[in-house]
Amino acid sequence: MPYSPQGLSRRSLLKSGGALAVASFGLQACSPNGGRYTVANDRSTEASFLTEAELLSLSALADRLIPAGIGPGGGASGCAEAISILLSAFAFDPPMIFAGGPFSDRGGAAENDFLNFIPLDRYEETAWRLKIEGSQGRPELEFNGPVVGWQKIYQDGLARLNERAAALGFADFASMPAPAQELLMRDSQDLQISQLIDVAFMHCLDAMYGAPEYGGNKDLAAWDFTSYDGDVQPRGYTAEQVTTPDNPGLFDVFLPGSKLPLAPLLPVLDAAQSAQVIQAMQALLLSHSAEMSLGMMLDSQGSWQRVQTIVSGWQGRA
Amino acid sequence: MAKTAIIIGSGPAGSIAAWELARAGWKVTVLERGRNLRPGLGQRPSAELGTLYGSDEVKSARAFGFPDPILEPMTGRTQSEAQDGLDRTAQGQVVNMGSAVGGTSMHYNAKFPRFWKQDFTQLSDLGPVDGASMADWPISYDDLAPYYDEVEYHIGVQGDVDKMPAFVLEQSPRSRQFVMPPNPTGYAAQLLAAGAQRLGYQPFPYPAAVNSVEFDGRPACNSCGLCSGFGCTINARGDALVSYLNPAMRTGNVELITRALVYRINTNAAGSKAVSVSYYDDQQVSHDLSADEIILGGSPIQTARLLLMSANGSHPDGLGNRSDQVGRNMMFHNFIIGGALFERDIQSLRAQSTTLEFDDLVGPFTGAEAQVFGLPYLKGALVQLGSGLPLLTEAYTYAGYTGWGAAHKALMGLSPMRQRIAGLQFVGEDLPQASNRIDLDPSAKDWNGLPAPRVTYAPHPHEKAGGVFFGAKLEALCLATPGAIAAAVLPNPILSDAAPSTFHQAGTTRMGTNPDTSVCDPFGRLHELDNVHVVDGSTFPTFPGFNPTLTVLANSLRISRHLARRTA
Repeated sequence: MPYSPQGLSRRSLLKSGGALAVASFGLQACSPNGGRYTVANDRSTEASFLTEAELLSLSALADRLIPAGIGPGGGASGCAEAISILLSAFAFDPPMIFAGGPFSDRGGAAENDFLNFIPLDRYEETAWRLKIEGSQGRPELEFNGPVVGWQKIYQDGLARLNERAAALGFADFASMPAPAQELLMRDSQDLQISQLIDVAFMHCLDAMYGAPEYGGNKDLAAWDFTSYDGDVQPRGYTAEQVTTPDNPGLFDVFLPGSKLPLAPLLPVLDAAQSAQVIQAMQALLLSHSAEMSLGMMLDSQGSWQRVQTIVSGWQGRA
Repeated sequence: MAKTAIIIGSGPAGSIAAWELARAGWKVTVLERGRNLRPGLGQRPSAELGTLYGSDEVKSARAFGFPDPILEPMTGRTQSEAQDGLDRTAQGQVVNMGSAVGGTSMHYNAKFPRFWKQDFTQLSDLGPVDGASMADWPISYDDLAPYYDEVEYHIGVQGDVDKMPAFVLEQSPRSRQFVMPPNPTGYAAQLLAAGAQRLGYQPFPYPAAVNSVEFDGRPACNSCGLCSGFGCTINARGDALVSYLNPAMRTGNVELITRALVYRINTNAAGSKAVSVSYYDDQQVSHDLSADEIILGGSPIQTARLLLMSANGSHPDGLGNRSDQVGRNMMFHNFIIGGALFERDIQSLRAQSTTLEFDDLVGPFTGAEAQVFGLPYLKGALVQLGSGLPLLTEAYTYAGYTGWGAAHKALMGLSPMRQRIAGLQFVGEDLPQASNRIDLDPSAKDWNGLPAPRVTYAPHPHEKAGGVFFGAKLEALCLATPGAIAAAVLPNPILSDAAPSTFHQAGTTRMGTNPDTSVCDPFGRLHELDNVHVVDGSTFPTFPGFNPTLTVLANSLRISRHLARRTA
């Protein structure tokens, strides 16, 4: 199509159905939170693809995938609600796939552009409907075979969890004690459950650690317990914040910029070269290349199994 | 009547070609398979463009600005898997480049080193290497130097000539100081630099197309750290779009068509001249478009794929492929990743992405270190000091190791990777091999039913030997870093034969003077067609260990200017 300039479109109402509360998302009062600002996640479930009961099961599942402890669990962080939004993305106009840009209001901008989700073109709509709704037997979408949509994976997987819970004498999955839930979730022989975990884990990570405009990371608690600054633009950092440590160490005197000219006296190091430490570090290092880690993110396609394959490929024949 | 050109791809190679030809009065149509993410493009000065990018990692996980891995998959396999008869073992992004107006430069980190003099004469200087299809470039450093300089000044590259070691300037001489000074060096990079200096290496400010001061009406970078994979939200980075395509469109001589996937170049009956291209729009409707010149700038994988898909009666094995060289000599950079571990948070994300490099390991090394591996030499690469990772990337990485549950959460709280590792990257040279190639997957398709590009790859023994030799040196550096409590390296070419997951890509239509061993002439023109030129990294005969975008830009400018003058 010939290029036509397209401004940032303002967030508009749902295409259909009531659910006015959904449209009010982001219009809630923003409250200061440790120098950052929290977006209240007040979403109705009326537009939700998942039922209330399914949401309850999903929230329990999120609490096992990301348990409470240091910081809240996936349930309290709004992971189930965020996944519900993803599964219902096309009930919104624009669809809630890509948050807007460039700034939220957490880094000093007056308005939160993230709330203005980006209208999709036909390519993106096709791609995201295919992921969410699946190919549903349409030959034009099955050019490399059928694609099972996330909606079906969640629906079938959550039903399966509740069915298995009932067989064990529980009212439903959410009523099971946490250790029993975990055992059930680790039943890799159960295809519906393992397919559910495969996508739900990655979606929970997105919801938990991503920007709150997607519906999770409630009260920015995940950024708090990880000491992550989040999106800091347009404020950014000052030269002093970049060049000097927040928590200086004695060894800073060995840096070229140190006021004490001690660099030549740097002692021989006694670095801990224990096999376990090295193994653990190696396991993490490849992600330290921006190129490699970005490739991993891009190729994950919302599948934990794909991430495991990519990461174990890094380990490879080491 | 004005000359006309179709440029395929709006990344660095295509955009600078559009800019050059538009300035020469040509009427240019740019066909880009991605969409535009900069509101105001073509309507407003680059300093006033909006952006749909944000400091938003969920967008990265959702491949914003990249080809969708289901609609436009790539496939991959190693050489040994190919020998075992496997058609593919990977399908998805594999090693895909970005697809958006501006190409991968929309979310690169804009590191802009030059290649060295010796890189252009490697075969002559160092001789052949068994199993590698070494070649000199048909041009010299001196041929490219004026274009390097012009691009650096136009796009806005930071750096400091006075801090560059003499051996670097000897190999990549410069006629003047950088247009702006370096940005502040991050704390983590300073620590690694101190380690490097202890081993006698000479770190210096990394040239980068990132504003350290206001430039061309766009602001200075404020070191948010979210460079690679992110569009710059404050417009502080020079790229294909703001520096070339948008100014070119504002001349009135350039039309941009987005979501246009070119799938065939059509020739006259004799096959001596291209007459049109065929492309699908986002409604999947096919169109034909004609022009005097067809210019390929879609990056090595897509350029090779297009030529192979354009096979016809006159070119049965693909356009311009009488030599059977199209798609061959696909090269990637073979990274070695190193890291020093610290007890406390060294805030590695809080800086412009990688502000220091050192070149002491570029080589070539021709002594015992090469002979012990049975190789005539080892060539190394520049080393990037310091890098940072955002939170969701960390979460995904741990997911690959620990899986879900309490262990993952505990790691997120402890954050060994994001907060406590100072990382370095060795951008390892990949020797060209004819068997490392792009071809058309026999059955995997894209959403238009076109064959997916397939990469078949394995590193050369040179890269594996480099992993050992340079890996050891980098581990020593990490151990020598003040405050490090442990260190480790991961030499990618030793770990896996799979194509490295990197956007540094070259080869597939190498330039040369001999039509039997190359695809393009020294000015990028296909040997077999008068009016088809390749301007992207496909033309590189070899792939030295330096970030390639500056050289892609300079080479495309050289070719485009030649084309404009030749036909003037």
